[in-house]
Amino acid sequence: MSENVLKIDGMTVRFGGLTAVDSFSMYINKGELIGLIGPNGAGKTTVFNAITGIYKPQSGRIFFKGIDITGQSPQLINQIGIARTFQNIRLFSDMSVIENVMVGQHSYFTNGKALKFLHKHNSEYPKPSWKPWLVSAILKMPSYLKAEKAMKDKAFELLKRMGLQKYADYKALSLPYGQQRKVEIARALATNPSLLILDEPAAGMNPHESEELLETVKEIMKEFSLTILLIEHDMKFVMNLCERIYVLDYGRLISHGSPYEVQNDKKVIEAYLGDEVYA
Amino acid sequence: MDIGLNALIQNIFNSLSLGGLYALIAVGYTMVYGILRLINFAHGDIFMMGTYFAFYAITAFFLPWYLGFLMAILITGLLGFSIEKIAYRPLRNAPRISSLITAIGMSFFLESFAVVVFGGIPKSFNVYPKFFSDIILIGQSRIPLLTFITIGVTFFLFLVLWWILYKTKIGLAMRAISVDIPATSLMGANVNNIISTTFVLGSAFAAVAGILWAMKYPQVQPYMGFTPGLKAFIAAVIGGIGSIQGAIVGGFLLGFLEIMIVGFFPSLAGYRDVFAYIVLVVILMFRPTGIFKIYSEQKV
Repeated sequence: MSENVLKIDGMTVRFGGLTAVDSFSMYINKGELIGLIGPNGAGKTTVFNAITGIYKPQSGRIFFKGIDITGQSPQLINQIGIARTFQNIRLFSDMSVIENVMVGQHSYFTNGKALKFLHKHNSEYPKPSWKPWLVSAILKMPSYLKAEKAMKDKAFELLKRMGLQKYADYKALSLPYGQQRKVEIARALATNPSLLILDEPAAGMNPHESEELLETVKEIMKEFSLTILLIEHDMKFVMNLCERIYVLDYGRLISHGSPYEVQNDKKVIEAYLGDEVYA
Repeated sequence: MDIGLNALIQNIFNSLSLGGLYALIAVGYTMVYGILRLINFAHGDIFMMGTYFAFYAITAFFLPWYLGFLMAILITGLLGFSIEKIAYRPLRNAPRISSLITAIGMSFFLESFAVVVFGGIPKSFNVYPKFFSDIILIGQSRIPLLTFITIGVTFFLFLVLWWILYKTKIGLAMRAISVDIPATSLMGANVNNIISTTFVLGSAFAAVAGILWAMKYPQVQPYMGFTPGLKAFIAAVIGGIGSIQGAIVGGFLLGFLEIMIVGFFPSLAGYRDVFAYIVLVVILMFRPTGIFKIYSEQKV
């Protein structure tokens, strides 16, 4: 059970009368790289938003490492190990690249809360030491003042890893689109995730850039022992990278399997090209 | 000839101290607006509460003035924290008009609370050490020590604010949530703590401004926050609401205009409160987003 990093059970998300995701189920094992594809408006990003706590599903459950995280706050979900990037880049526009990455390391005040949550649901996790928050805040004061420097160093390491060190002091929005996507990945990595969720990481990149990104994703996956879930429209990217693929259409799961199986699934071809192909 | 020069020096110091006070209050408006897009209309009344806290800490609890002032600043910070938690946080995802109306209600509540609990009669704020009123001669201009203290404290606090915003972790997070609250929470930062910190900081600044104000015009009364609050709000709008540099520049601009116009055209003294509004109208005609333009980000 708990070797599943992520498990979604019959999740439904509705917006008023519109059912964006309809009893969707999936699982991801540790160390897997899974793709989620589907035509525009199929509900892929909605699935991501539900996993990361932005939307609360109307029914169904979401488990992370065997712990029910349905309806938890985005910050708690991030602190226990799920990080993401965004379809439309959402960097902090008037901050420098390195500062953007530093924001990813901010879970300082609340680690206690995340630990408590983990311990409550799975006693294998250590019990957080009990200290009134004020006392622990005062005890941490000296390290808090030093934290800035440590954060900066770590952020710089991550930028170097993504090949962005020369842009560290640039304004985030002044970077080319492809580089901004890499900053987003660095920022997500800064939160120390075990599951990384990438929403269209190759969107707006030229073939050369997306090839490069493909390599980077493979490398960081090994280096940070990540499990990755990604949405992507670039089929070459998905087929080359993913071990298994889930296909959504109008909020329903229509196919699931290896890239080869999915590519040859009649329902998938219909969803993308329309059924007149077979007429 | 010397009379003109002396008057000028005098007016410059007065402008710096009045402008600094406006700026200190305006910073509180602009920080809250920058993060929540909420005009905290209760901010002027938080300023008023700060002066009462200082007054009672010294007169009723017999604290020495410096401890009394410190306690008042801390308690006002706590008041800001509570107001956010009780009145604004439950409405965080409600339509913006709901929190705006709540802010106006909170303003009325604090004023009425002060009338009922502290009494409506103005009280003389004679709780500060007498040497604050000592006169210092610069050339032939006679400037009270308090003016220097006000200017010094104001500039010191702006440095502290700059340090917090650009050199600490919480400041980084404050700048991040002013751009994008959901994205910041998805990076694991605790949005509620950061917003609380912003309110504590803004309210503590208002308390400092309140204490300095009450020493300058030595009395406290329940409606004393209205006019400075409104002027500081105008200062924040002139500067470009949401921008901290804007609030500071707007505060000083307003302070200078008010003092200089009254100083050099004494016959207009009766209209001094009107100038703030005229400046507001003129600046908004040419720069609708204020002096320091804030680009509105598209939110997803």
